Amino acid sequence: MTTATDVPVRRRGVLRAVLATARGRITAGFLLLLFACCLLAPVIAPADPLHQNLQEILRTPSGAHWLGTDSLGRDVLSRLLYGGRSSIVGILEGVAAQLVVAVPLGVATGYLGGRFDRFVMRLADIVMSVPVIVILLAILAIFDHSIAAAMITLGVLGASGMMRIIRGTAMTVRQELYVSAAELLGLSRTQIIFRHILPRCRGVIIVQTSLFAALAIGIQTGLTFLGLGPPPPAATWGGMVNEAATTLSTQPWLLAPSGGLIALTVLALGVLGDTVRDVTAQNHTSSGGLRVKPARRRPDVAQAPVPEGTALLSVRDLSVSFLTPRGEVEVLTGVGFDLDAGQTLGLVGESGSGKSVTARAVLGLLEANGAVTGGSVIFDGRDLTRATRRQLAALRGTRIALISQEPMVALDPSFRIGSQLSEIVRSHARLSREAARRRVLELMEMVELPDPEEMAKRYPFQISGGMAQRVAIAAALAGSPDLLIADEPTTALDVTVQADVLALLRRLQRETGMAVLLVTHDWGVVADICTHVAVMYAGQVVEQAPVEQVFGAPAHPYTAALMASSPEKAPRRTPIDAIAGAVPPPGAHPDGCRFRDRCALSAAECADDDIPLVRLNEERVSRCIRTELLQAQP
Amino acid sequence: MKGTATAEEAAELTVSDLVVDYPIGRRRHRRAVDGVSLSVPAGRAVGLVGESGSGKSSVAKAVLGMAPLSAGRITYGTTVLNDLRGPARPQDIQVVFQDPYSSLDPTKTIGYTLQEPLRAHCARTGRSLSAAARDELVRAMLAKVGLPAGTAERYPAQFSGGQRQRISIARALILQPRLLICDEAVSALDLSIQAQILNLLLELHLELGLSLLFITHDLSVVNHVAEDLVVMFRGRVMESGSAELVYRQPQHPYTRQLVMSAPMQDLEAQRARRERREALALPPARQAPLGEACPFAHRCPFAVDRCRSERPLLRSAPLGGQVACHLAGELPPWSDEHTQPREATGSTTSCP
Ligand SMILES: Nc1ncnc2c1ncn2[C@@H]1O[C@H](COP(=O)(O)OP(=O)(O)O)[C@@H](O)[C@H]1O
Ligand code: SF4
Ligand code: SF4
Ligand SMILES: [Mg+2]
Repeated sequence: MTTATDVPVRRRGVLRAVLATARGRITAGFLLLLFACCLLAPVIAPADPLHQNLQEILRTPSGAHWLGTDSLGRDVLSRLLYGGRSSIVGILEGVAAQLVVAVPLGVATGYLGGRFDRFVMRLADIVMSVPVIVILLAILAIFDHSIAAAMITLGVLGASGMMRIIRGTAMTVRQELYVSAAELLGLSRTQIIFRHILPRCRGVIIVQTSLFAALAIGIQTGLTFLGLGPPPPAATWGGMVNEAATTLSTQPWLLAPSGGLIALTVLALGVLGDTVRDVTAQNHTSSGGLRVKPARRRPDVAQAPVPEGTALLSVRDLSVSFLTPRGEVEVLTGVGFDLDAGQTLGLVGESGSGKSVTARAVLGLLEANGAVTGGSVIFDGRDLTRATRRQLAALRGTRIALISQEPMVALDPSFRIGSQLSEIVRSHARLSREAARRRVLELMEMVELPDPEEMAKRYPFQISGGMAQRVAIAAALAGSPDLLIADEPTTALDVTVQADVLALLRRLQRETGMAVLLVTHDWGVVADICTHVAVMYAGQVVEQAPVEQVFGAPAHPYTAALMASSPEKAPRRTPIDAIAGAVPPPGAHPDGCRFRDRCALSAAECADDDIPLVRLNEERVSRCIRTELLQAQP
Repeated sequence: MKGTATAEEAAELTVSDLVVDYPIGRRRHRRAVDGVSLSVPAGRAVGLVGESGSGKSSVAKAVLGMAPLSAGRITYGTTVLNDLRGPARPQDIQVVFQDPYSSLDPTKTIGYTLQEPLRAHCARTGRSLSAAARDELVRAMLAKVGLPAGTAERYPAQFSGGQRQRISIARALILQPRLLICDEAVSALDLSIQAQILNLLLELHLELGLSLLFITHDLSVVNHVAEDLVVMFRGRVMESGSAELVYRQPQHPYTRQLVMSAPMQDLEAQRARRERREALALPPARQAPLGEACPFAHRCPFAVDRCRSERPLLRSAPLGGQVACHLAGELPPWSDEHTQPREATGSTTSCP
């Protein structure tokens, strides 16, 4: 049994992941230190915050007063610490109030939905629309300048924003199939909320809390600055800023400690929130958010070997590497095949065997972290691996075209089908608007789109997947290509639609004589439309031959095993000849024959060396040293 | 019916005249299932086929209490499932979904995911199960679906699609259900992995007498697993009957089109299928009929006037099974030697 990764990596908790980043360590450390110092103010403060000394007013920092003194000669550091104490308590009260309101309501509305959700959301809309400052002023008037009352009110009023975000997350998680599975297995709603919904909301809750804390500090400072908080001489950060402002002309330094600390605290909370957001986003993507650089491009060695033969496309010894979190891995090793005008070559193999990378490498469309590290792609006598970006772009769409599994993603949802096709047509030839329109209708008729005039006026979301694939084919045909590369063009379609699209491809090929490179995992599709097959495994071509020969008798154990895996090939309701295990991830295949640990015919000699392609006849190669055993089998 | 020793506690699932409407916007709805009836007798494997949007998944969701029921009745044995939700539902019915990625909670270990239902079950029934006994059950279940014991300590992100599907099956089986609903459970998998999972499901079905409601768009897959087939189109049942009959002697024009469209892994057979399909020049795509008409009339090569004004009811067909077509029994005979059995499996159907 092979597993996706070899080392059991444990998922990290949010906290640990945050602390693993420098930003996270610095901001969390700063906030923790501030928190501890303020709480311990009575113990560590060098002086009584209320003790006045009119002999020593407005001093700059000194040994006795580390941060100087204010206009009444009080120690600024001590006042900051005591003031911070009341600020922190106020913020904690506000945060607690917000969490108590927002978390239960957010999770409940998001998970339960229905009438309760509508009622709460209506209420939240109303709360959102009340002027917060007016309410706060009223509360301060009623509760006799109690910052606690003001912060709790702020927390409750601010809860609607947090609630919405938690609700959104809970709604997403509710759609996950594992929540349905848990319901079916008899878990109660409460259990599901605590075990499956809340853990996924943890990230957004932390982010929102730190953002709210930053906001609350600002508002609290503002209120005390305006003298709406506890009356002097009590120490508050806002009050200190206020005092500093009044003496700004005589002693500007006084603004630095209070203003600076407030700014730093707000900044730290904001950055911490951001860090948590980044970290939780990463935890759910497999790449770990790694930023990737392109793999080294191969040094420009002597000219590529002169292409043998006269094939339209001839891929020779093509190797491709990607830079991944685990370093550089080779995903294609010495891939080669030929394709002539009028032929259709099927690239077959399990996912992960390198079919799509091959197709993209031919087009020069590898992702940014991948590169051709060896070999050549000779198209019509030119090596495309040496072509410039601009030369490749000019070839694509005109002489080589591409259609993919998801035609919808290639279409821009905000433009009509007709105008998108028209733009493509006009990029190939300078045509008048009217001529382009005629050409578009002609293309749409060619791909058998019903009622082209009407269809041209539709937007992509107004057509079905099968129609979208026809539009994509029409776009591909706009430049009259010699080579069409089709990556699983019918996999996402229903069988009846798939049959129509295959029939269309066959007709177009007959009419235009273009060559088709078809990536598929479906032997039925190969039987229907291909003239040749190249079977790929773990980044190599293991067998290549005309379809008649492959379907007649596979010459590689992998081809044979893959064909036997089809339910069509086993009697009804009996075990299918499944291949054990799975395709090894790139770079993790065994030495010698890469198929060795799944091969029914493997022997000791298969482990010795890389297995070369063996030529079996004019048109057929196989990468197996025991292939004659296979052909001897019934 | 295939009687297996352990089937005594299993019960029959019956769905009668099911209608499912999804609300879209205010006061509007979309009918996904329009009067569907089917049954899964205890220990039997029933396949539900049709193209995307035909309402297959909505039938499954209705049975699982996850879709709004506008009409109809769903029973499991003597229990009416219509309004049962959450822990009140019998845990005898479990499901494996298509998407192996969203099926597992990324924040929980596999062990936790498999233990959770056991704990909830004990809490509900007041039984106690020691941690060691639970661990043992989990290990045994992982072994049964072909995963190593070390699996329990790992997180979903460390497994491939096929392995996740095995884990989903293990979770579905941990409370020893009697009926497993597989909604496109192998559709996202590679041919070789699909074969492994099909073998596992068949083994569980044949050895434990687990009933299967097997939903897929893939005829070759469903024909391999199912004893009975139900073919759906636009929310209605078009044809039903024994799988061998429906697959080999399709009597409904839609079923025939499905069979002819599925490409076969054989050059000769596929060429023959393709030619048959081309010969039946299909009418150009037209607007789908609404209201009282055959839902297939716009794509049917045999449609007559009556088809556009009268909805055909599901009725017994000449060769057996049931078909919803005005021309049932009057269509040209079907001969596709490639859908004939590959060899004698001992099962015989009476097709003239
Ligand atoms: N939650 C939903 N809201 C609105 N429409 C839905 C919803 N789920 C399914 N549908 C619609 O119901 C129809 C049947 O869907 P479904 O049962 O998923 O079909 P299948 O499983 O055969 O693909 C489709 O037209 C689909 O768009
Ligand atoms: S070389 Fe050996 S291991 Fe590889 S496919 Fe041939 S027989 Fe199997
Ligand atoms: S009722 Fe008419 S339209 Fe419908 S399937 Fe039968 S022949 Fe075709
Ligand atoms: Mg579905």
